[in-house]
Amino acid sequence: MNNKMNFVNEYITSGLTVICSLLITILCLTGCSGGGVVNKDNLSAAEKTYVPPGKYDEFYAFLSGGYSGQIDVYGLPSGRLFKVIPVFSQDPCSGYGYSEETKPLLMTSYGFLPWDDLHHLQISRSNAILDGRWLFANGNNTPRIARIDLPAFETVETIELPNCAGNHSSPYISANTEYAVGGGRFSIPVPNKDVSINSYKQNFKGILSFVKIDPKSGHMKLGFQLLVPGYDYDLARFGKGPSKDWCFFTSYNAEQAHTLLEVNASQFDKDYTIAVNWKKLAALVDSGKGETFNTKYCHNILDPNSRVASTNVISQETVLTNKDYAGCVYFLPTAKSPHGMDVDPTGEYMTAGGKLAAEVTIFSFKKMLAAIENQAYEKSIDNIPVLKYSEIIATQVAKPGLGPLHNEFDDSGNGYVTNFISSDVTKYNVQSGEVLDKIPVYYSPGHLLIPGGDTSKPWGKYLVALNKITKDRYLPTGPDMDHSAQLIDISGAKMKLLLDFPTHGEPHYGQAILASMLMPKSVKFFDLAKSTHPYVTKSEKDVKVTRKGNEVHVYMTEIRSHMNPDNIQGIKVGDKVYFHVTSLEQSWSIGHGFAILGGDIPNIRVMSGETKTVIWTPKHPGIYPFYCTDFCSALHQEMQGYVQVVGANTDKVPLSWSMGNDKTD
Amino acid sequence: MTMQTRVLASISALCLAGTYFVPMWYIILSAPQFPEGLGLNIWLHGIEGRSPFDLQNINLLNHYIGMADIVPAQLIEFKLLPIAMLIPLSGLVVSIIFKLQKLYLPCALFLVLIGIVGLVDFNHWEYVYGHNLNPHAPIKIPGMVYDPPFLGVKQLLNFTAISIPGFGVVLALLATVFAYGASINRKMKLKGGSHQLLANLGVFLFMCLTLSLNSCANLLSPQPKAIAWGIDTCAFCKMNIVDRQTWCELSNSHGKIYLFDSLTCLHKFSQGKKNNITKMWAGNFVPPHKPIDINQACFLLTNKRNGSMGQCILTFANKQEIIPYQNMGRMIFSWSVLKLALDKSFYSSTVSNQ
Repeated sequence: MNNKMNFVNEYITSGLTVICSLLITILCLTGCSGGGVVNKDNLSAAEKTYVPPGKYDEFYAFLSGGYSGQIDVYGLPSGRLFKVIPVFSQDPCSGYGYSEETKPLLMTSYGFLPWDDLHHLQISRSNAILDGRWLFANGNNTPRIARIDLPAFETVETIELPNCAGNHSSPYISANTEYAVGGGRFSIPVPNKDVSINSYKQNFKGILSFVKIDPKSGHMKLGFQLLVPGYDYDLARFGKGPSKDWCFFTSYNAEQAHTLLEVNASQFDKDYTIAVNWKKLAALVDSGKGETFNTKYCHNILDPNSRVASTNVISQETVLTNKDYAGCVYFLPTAKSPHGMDVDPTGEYMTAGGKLAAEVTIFSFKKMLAAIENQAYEKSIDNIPVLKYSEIIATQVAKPGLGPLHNEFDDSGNGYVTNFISSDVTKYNVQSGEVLDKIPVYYSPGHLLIPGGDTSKPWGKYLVALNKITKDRYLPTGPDMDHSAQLIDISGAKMKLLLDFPTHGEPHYGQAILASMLMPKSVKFFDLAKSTHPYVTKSEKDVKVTRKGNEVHVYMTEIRSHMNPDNIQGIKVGDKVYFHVTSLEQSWSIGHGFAILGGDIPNIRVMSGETKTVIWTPKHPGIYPFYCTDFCSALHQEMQGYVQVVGANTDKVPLSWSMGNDKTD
Repeated sequence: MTMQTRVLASISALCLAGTYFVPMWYIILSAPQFPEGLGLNIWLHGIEGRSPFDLQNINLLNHYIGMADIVPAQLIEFKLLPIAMLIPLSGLVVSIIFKLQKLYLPCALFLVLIGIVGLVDFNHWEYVYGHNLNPHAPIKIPGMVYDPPFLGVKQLLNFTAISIPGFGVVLALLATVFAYGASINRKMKLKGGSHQLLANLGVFLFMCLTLSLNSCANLLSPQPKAIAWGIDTCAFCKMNIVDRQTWCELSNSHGKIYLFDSLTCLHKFSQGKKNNITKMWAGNFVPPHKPIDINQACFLLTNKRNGSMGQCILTFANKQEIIPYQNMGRMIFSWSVLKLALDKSFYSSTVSNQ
């Protein structure tokens, strides 16, 4: 009887549940259709961008941080932020730029410069296809190029570019990663001197730098520089396929104005793109052409075995002038104030958005070669021939939108251009110039990226518009808001908006690569046995504290869950104390850290198998606790210790150290 | 000596030689924060991590619970085993070359001996490894020991430990079978007759049984199972088992273990299955709530237990343990009396009348 009652109860309960669910569903549906909050398109966008917990994104996207000096690593299509890689910045999170091992990476001829404006990114490539070995980034303010090791996702090399300012047309790299380039958006006297600003036309010059990249190690070396007319060299692209020996730098300010450029540099109908045959130039330099300039610049590199960076100051370099490079350098007239010339996947078409002309000009590389062959010159500037505009254009995209800026390409012969003023992205056919589709973005896009969209093999699935203005896209966060990016599905005939996600700093450009190309190579930890760090402590037996005058070196180890030594006595006020902290761990994703009371340097974090050093100068006698800052284990909170600091002239406390000695006085 | 015999003996020798080149046993550990897993490969001549630093990381994690480091160089077994294996191997080789037919059986028997001694030693080492805990360990869980399973799967705190034989054990077994086969082949040639073969097969099966005895140990001496709190369900009422003070278990003659959230459920479940039940346990009310044999336990019927609303039966190991709690309810000193009480619904009336 009882059992029967239970069954009846169960039926009633489940019946009620079904009815309730139906009611809720109906309510939801009516609510939605009435409010128009959810429609079928958005649902499919949600499905397309949803990466379930524990699953992986299809692409890694690297977005530059602009004035943050960092690179942000996102997943596509989810828009999730995975990591921030400090490059031209000090990072309190990792200790990059604070630890003695990483500080040299920020050295320049102007001194230690822990900031730069990081604009553009380039993933290394082979045969104009991304290979994912390294990522290159430019420093815009104090001209530099950095190399980021992609297996470790960390900055391992920086090189300063002398004689120039505002390294904006950088670090664009050639089809086989032979060269990275730099070019100044400011012309300055070369070599720099205190001339009158009014003497711009006479004294100011442009410098284009070609940085040679070692194909095996990735090490950078300044190959040569090119002295060119004093315009503002803005952006660059190497050719690929048939055009792979050429590099194209757009410029503005053919007017050579030095004040109120917004007006004075916007007068001419055309500006100039400088086309450079870098292969021939490299051969010229090899044959001994060019002048040797005395200069000073820094080359900084992290040794992979010790993981310690060092600085090399270089004092000479080779500069090619118009006496040397005849036959290798030409000017291409380009629609008013262009902001970059991009080369399509075939290498035959070069597209340039005339920022103030509201058209995208498509040049033909074949026609350019023919014009050079036929000497179809308009005129020449400083002995550089200017090719006839009508002889080199293939077609143009008429009315793509207002303020066309940057182009990327898919794998079906289409180009995509961002329009800053009309705030949209336009899809066009590269061969015909016909506009195919247009989609609004929010708001005012600068660069855009398609995974592999600047190579011979784009993955034409997603496009990310990197917008400059945020306004009402997210919950407001005061006057300064993170920029917004839009993920757009470009797999069909019509572009579809899939997702908005905030980007930190100001992403100027980005690169994306298939996750499966990087994921297997990602470093899990550093091999402690192979470490050649001069202050490494490879086992707890080797822990020690040494004194040389007022310099004290603490050879400390960290392993779950103790620091050794954790009691240090007899440090004196005014000592320069080096903590060389080695993580003895050999395990993935287990990090330790170090911080000390009153330490004027932020925490440093130490990954498995590496050694990091901080300097501390105690100012008062007392007890100074230190601890591990990275929640490494269940007993992380117990991972701590004490330093006793005595007066500068006290000699009664000898230097001593211990761990696990619980003797009491 | 026939060709067949020599082929059998050669295969045996090859299999035996192979045991030097493949792991004998695997211990695999996985935990929520170790999705990639940690593992130990046990070879004839030593232990190493499945990945280069697994051994180091296992030692590192084990120091929290006070387990000793595994230092392969300190384990005498890994010096003896490769030498011990050489004895039957060289025996086989010598008998193949010099046609010493009488040596095959001793070789096979010696292999069986190594197998038994090896496995008993392995089991013993696991016991010592899991029980020998540093009293100053940062994490101490009363009553908890950490022997890895001898064979199969076991939950050790956040780690699921799996222990399985490696290809080396398979090779050693094959070597034994073939060595034995060679000796049978010889006897059959001498005496003939299928009864001899049958008798020999019987001996072989007995050997196999001996080897696998340990894995079947649960049938002979059943052990209570660790309950996954909030996940395992009561075999009778199907509710999730959450109460660590009232749980109980029983095992049947098939070696199967049933879990219950209360003795009431266990009793109702067991009615009509009396002959089938081999053992019953209930968690001691006194921390650390170790399982105790129900047939030797004392019980307290109460509705005054802290943190629980209804009536319940608490279990104690003996009368001394129950005395401090006597004011909480009614004491019953044997399972048979308690059953009587449960059968007659004596339980609820007794408790409510208090």
